[in-house]
Amino acid sequence: MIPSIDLHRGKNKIHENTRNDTNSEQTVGLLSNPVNKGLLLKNGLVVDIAQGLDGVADIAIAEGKIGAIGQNLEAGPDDQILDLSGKIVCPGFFDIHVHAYGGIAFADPDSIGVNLGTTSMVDAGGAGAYTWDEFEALILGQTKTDIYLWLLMRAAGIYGFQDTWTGARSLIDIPINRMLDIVEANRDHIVGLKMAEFAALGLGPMKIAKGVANVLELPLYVHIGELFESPPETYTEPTLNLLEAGDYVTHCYTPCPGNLIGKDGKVLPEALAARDRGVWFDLAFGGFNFSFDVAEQLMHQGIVPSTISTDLQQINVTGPVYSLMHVMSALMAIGMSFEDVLERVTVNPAEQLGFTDKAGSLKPGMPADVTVVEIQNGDFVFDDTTGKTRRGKQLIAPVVTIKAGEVIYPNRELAEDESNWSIESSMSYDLVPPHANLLDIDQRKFIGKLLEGFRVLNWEGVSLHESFHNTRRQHGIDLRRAAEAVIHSFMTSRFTPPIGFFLATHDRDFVLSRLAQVAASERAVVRN
Amino acid sequence: MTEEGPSWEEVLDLNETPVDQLQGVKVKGKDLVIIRHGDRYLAMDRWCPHQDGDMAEGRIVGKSLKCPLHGFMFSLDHGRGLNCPGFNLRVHEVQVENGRLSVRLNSG
Repeated sequence: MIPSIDLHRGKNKIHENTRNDTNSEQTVGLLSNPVNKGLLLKNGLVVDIAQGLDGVADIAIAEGKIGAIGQNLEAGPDDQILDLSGKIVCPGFFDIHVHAYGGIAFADPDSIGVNLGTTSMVDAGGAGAYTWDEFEALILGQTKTDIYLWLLMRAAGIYGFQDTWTGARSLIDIPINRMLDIVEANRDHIVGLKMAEFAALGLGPMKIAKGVANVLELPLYVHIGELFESPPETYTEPTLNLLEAGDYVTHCYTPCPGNLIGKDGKVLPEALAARDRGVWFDLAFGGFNFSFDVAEQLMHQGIVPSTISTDLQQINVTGPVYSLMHVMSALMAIGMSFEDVLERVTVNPAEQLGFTDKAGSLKPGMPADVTVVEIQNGDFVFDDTTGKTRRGKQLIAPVVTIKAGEVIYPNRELAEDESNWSIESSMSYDLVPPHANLLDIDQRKFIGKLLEGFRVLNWEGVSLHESFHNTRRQHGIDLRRAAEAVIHSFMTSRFTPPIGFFLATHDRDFVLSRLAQVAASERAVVRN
Repeated sequence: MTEEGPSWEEVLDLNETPVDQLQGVKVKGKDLVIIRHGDRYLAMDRWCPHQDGDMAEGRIVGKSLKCPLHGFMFSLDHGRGLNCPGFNLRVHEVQVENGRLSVRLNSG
């Protein structure tokens, strides 16, 4: 058991307020307008660390924004009222490391977002410069959960576990000009650059990544922990030395080679120095990268994550991660308080990423993103990624989520359903999937053009990727509709793997045959 | 009619095989995991193709076997990786006679 947690910065101090009823009432005037149909959250225990609120209060919501927090607020005649007596009302949870897009992500990103109490999340490297536009077309604006991106230095993004990143050795594979253009045009959605510290790459690509991040004035988000092998040497120490205030180390409690514990069994001095310079440490539990032993050791030695994130992806949503709340509860099992974990999923990510105007607190005028939870008492067992466990007495459980004013109830089954996490199960190898029948004539014509181009190509990712995009530009079809035409030709769920790279992992004859079947089908839907 | 291919190898007394548990066995030098899933018996490769996780220490999730190391999941029907495209476990034929389970190795 950890006697006390040494939180290294003032902003990370454990919330010390006692639970007093808040007596402040802040309004932006929305309550004075009774014609606004709104929502009134009654009698919940409001815990908002950014505002120092910690007491029973009501929250009025109108037009998707927080209208007021105070005592005995009255509902308008058409307002919906939720009685949250005994529940804890928090700012919407913010998970800065998930996989919402790409080959290891989910058919329904909201299943790990608003449906599990997370109102904002950052996709950690699903897209790179080559695949940004697919991410933009298939993800942005398509979900209730706000989704941002750590743009991956590797151009194709993350598209599967057989991807060893070795291509990143080559400068040719990092289209820096394209990255600069994409970031400059999309700063509202790209929060930083992601790079992995893998020994096979050496330190060179990391230096390039840091240089590009500096040019763009973006944080660098660095994955540590070897995934595929145990190399004789890793580059974690010199990588830590490259990082500046505002950069991140993610998977900070990984047990894998290249972690933050030195050969002497003590925390790397470079990690402590980075911490003191203002480098952030992010949890990112993942399927590989969280060890209770490492966590307890590093907590005692001064490395405490400033953000708690999940790294939710296909391999870990059925355990050991499950959800952000489950990960928060696992941290509570090794000594953190509820306030400790709460600030790491609300105010801290919002401040660090510069989102205090739209996330992290319940200030009047903010988007009405609210996560309501209860703390269940019992005897709970939490697994790490090494097979070890810890027992805890408390489990944070979702009650209801408000996203931009909309009431959404939790649904864990949605996230854990096989159709949501298995592209393989979704593949329809023998028959054209039923969704293909919904393609309109223009989409089928596009599939036919795609087939013509693919017939003469070398069967590898970049060629198919470029052919897909060139064809859809020439055909004049919207990228989302083009991508969905391909996805629905092969899958029964709407996964979002990068199209060209995904097709390249399948047998050429199978892909060409299926495209021909879809293109030739006469059961097209005519859209008005 | 003579069956071609590998021979059937008797590996287990079913009375010693608990329901919904996994059991590591060796057949002609090959490590397998025997799965009793309800009334169904299966035999699959024992070592995960990713990083040699011991599937006999894994668990059954729905219709898949989940590796204890990194959560890679393999279909009980055909062995294909469900959340790790490109990674597969071989599924071996099983038969039950007189309360004994036999396996015929799939060398494909």
